[in-house]
Amino acid sequence: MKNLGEMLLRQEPFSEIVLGNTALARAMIESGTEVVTSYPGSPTPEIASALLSVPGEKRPFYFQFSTNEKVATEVACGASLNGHPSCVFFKSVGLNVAADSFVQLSLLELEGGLVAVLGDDPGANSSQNEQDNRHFARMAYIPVLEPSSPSEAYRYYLEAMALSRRQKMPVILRMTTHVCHGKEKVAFGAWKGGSVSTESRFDTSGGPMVPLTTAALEMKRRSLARLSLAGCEMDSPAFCEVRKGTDSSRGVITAGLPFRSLLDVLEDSDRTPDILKLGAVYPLPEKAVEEFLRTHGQVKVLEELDDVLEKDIKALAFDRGIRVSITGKTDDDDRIGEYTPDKVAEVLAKTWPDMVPLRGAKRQPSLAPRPPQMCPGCGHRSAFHAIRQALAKEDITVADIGCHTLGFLPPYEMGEVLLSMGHSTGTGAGLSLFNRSRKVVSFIGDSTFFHAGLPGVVNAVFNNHNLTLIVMENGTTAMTGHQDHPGAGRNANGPSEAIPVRGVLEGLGVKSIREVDAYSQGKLIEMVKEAMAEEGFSVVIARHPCMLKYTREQQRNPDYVRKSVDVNQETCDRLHVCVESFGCPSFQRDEDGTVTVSRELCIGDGSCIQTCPVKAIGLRKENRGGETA
Amino acid sequence: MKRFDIYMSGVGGQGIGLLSEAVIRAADHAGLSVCGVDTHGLAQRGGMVESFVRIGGEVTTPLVRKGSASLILALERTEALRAGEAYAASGGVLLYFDTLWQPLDVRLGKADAVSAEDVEEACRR
Repeated sequence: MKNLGEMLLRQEPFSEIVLGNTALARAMIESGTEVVTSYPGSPTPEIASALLSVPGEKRPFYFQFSTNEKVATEVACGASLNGHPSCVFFKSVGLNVAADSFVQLSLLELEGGLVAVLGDDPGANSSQNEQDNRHFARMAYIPVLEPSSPSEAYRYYLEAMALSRRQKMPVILRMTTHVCHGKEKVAFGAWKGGSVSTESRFDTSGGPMVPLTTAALEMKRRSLARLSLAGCEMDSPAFCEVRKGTDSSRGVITAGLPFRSLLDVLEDSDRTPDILKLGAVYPLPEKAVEEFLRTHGQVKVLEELDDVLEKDIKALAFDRGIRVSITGKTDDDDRIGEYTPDKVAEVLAKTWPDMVPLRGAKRQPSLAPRPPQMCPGCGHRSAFHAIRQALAKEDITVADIGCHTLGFLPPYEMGEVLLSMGHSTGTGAGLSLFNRSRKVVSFIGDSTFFHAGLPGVVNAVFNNHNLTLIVMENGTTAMTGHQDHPGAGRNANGPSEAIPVRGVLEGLGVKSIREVDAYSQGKLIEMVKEAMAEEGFSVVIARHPCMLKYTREQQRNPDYVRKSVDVNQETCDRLHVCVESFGCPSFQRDEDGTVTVSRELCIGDGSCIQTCPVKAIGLRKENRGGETA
Repeated sequence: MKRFDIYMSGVGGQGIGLLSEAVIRAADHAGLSVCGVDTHGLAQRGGMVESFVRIGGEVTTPLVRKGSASLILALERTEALRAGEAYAASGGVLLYFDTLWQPLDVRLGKADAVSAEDVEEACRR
């Protein structure tokens, strides 16, 4: 494969098979986007991987991972106010974190333009909900473009940035998981080269910029006027495409990935409806929709998640007195899950069964599911195995977001409730009120600690809450692909001052802090017991580097020898602590109860050795004394 | 050419993404239209991973409907069975690497491991 960083900087037009996320990175460069900010979250982190594949000195943009999505939004906003075309991107639920600043963006004169790329996650593939961020757009008076493929993502980004710069207003590019991760050949345009401007263009003469008292209303008026201008611009064939079917009495209005799924479903169909595919989803392109409604007797609105388009389209038909039958969501199922081709077939068949060719039902095998789990050598596994032994059965554990969330699965079942990034100390504090019979233990990862965990800690100190927080520190933002966080000593551009978790806790006034390597299970059990026995707020830091990251780094070393442990079959009493309770996936169980170790999976970290009551686990002979296998 | 749909599956960490990328590049090199999509996110944490590749024909969506893949490529036995049952078209081909990474329930003693015979039998049905 070609070098990604070099490809992104090519000046002549070219075509290449890329991810939707990579197509966006090229669009940022072509459009002259100078400042890009983010907090990592699926489905968007590959935008950052693409941008960071351009060597630092050659980057015609500045990129940062910010502390969280709110700060990322603010940095992009500030840069735009100063004249830099800017972009902020993050995952669906990131917008909840950013919201306080995000809803203000449209009130400002964004001199350089600002595109917010939102990675919505229908199907909740890697998120705690499948929220539909089009609702936020309505609240924040920000127009939304929604591509259905990587090629469209590229084109729409260019259009979004152009519109944003013309109107000095924010524009949302709403991506969804399989548009971000779809791969296809994209035809890119030319890039004339360029670098980040050093001119400071911040200017309040186009203000007001401070929305207080009457200014807030004046700014809102300006924002609404811009939104309707943008709406008019977006009500054009560039974003409203009509495809003719064989039965033109019926029409489907759709957008995004569901449009692609619909084409797939109709491929073998004899009767196909006309389709109006919307690229502009907010504000509703009224001209295009009205014309479509007037020329069809029956219209089906096919949209993923909530009934945002449906409600707008029905209101439009009512307002304009158009006699047309409009069907949208028919039941709650229609609002749940990603609109894959199979789902679209199901949804469409409820309204127009004659348009969906029947398919034989496939067997659903009753196979054991394969949920994601902690990797071999993960410090969190060692920590959970130990912490479970320190707790009484009735004690309450609160999960947070990150790899350690997977601890809620068997065999650990640690972390019984989850809201959002950084919630665990606050929710744990609430659970501890009037609760003398059950101790409360909350978990948090280190990246999340910096992202949104600090206010909960401050509150626990401020209000003297009675709970124990366990910081599961692995030195990275592991779940989303090992991005550096403020404690890592490195940012997206080079070395930075590492902010120590312990130092932050001390600075916030936490008096009871214990630290231990998560592999030292005996010590960890003891510390958790001590911390829980104390009155008030206590913290235990269970630290071990992310072993997936560490092992990958080690494997780049030509002298690297993969180690592994082994079960001594003569000593083994088949107590199954290793396979059932510690639960490292490297342990495999035969039908007769024999336990073996998969050398494909085991990394030889040895965190399991201490868990065997009869000491049957040890490093393989060839791994002792530095000999190679 | 009529479209040829491939469904790939395996366990996070085995290299499904790389395999998919190689197949996509090969199809492109052969002058065929091609698109695809992988599962990302939690995938590398030992969960099930899947990848869709569609070669030839008009590109609609990279997602393949159940029961319509001409070829199933699986890198692990349990996932081969799961993939074949859900995605293989009638008369489709299943090609899999015969290794076993036991799912959690098998390791906990709550479910049986899949054998090569199970996979073969499912293909004959």
